Amino acid sequence: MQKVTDNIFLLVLFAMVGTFIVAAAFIFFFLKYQRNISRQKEALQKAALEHSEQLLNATLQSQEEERKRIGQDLHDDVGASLSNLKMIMAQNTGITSDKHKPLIDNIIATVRNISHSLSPPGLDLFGFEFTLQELLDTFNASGNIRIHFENRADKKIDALNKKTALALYRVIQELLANTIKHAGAKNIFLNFFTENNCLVFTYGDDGKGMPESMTKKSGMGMQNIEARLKMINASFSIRTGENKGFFIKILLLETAYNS
Amino acid sequence: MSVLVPWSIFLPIVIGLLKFKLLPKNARIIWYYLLVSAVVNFAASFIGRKLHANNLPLIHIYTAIEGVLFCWFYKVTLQAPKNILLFKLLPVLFVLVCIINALFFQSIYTYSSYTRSIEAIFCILFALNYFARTATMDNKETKTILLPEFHFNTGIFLYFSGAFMLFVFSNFIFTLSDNDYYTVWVIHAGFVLCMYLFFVTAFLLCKK
Repeated sequence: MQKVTDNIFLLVLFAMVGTFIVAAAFIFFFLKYQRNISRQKEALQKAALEHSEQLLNATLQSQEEERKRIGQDLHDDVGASLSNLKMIMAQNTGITSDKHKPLIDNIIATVRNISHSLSPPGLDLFGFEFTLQELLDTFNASGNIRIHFENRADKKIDALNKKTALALYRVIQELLANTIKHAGAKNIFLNFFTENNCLVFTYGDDGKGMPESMTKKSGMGMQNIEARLKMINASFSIRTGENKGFFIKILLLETAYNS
Repeated sequence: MSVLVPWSIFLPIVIGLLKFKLLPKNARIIWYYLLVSAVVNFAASFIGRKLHANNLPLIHIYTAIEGVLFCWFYKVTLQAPKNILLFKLLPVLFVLVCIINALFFQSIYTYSSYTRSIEAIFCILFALNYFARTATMDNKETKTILLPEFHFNTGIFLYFSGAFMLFVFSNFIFTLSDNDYYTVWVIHAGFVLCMYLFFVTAFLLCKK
């Protein structure tokens, strides 16, 4: 009789502990399964993000190549043809040629400007600072706005690799266009300096600014800026507000210098 | 363990009370369950130890209330409009089964093993239903382990899975030697403590 009682006790004990262990194991495997699923989802999302970044890079790169080609064609073919025309007209002096000479000069200058803005040749030949200064001079020449440019990073900005220099140049072009189109500013301030091994670029204007919420719903121009900065792994922060002007701080990591 | 566990119920009750305003509806149901459980536990202890009377009629009443509260908890947690009829019928049917069982099948002076077992089965099934839903849920913002209802559900699932066999054999266990009988109920107390600890975690995870 005693033996039967012991067996029931052991059976109950095994059944209780056994089912408890099975239930605990079920929860353990459930959580493990969920973790695996969420890791897979994260990996898929990461791959999709990387893919879209690659696509964006490729688009921007092909856009630059196309701009370069059109710029060169304009400069070499149209520019050269216009110069030839100017020379021919100089040989045939007369009322007509004298009347049209300034017009041709104007066309040559416009073509030159367009070709330079499409593909700044100075970047390869004279470096980033010179090319930027040239760009700023064209804006300053309009007389509507005053651009204050200060480089406290010395030669460091000329040491930027080609991809970074071109992207930064495009970003500055976009920022200048935005200020002129929308801000109604009188002054623009551009600064380069170094901070903890990073090259820092700040851009600010004293225009009407925009509500903070607008920076999140960015338009095409801001999207372009974001995309180009992302492409060169630069981080940035924006400070603006209604009637508070616009300010952007861009941080370029050391990788910006690797050729 | 048998001394520690009855008092340990105050841990989730106090934490739940401190965070009561932040508790969602399902967490409040669990808190009510804990309150009922504490009252019944101490009443049973008083009847048994002080009055030296059989306190098993209380377990028949407690089983019915517990079953209804867990049905209500899963009705809120599973948010299943398709199963709304089930959640309306089940508590009524379960209370009826408890009354019929007490009147015609198991004396109120014996353990309500049939109804406890039935309750354990439907609680385990509800818990499994919750796990199945959570497994396929696309919850990007919150990890499952941070959801309070996951911990409530895990506590209930582990407790009823472990205690199911005890409920089935509970009237046999009375025939065991004192030592064996005590051992089985100490293990049961361990499961209860485990469930309370999951409830504590769940209450702590409740946010606005």
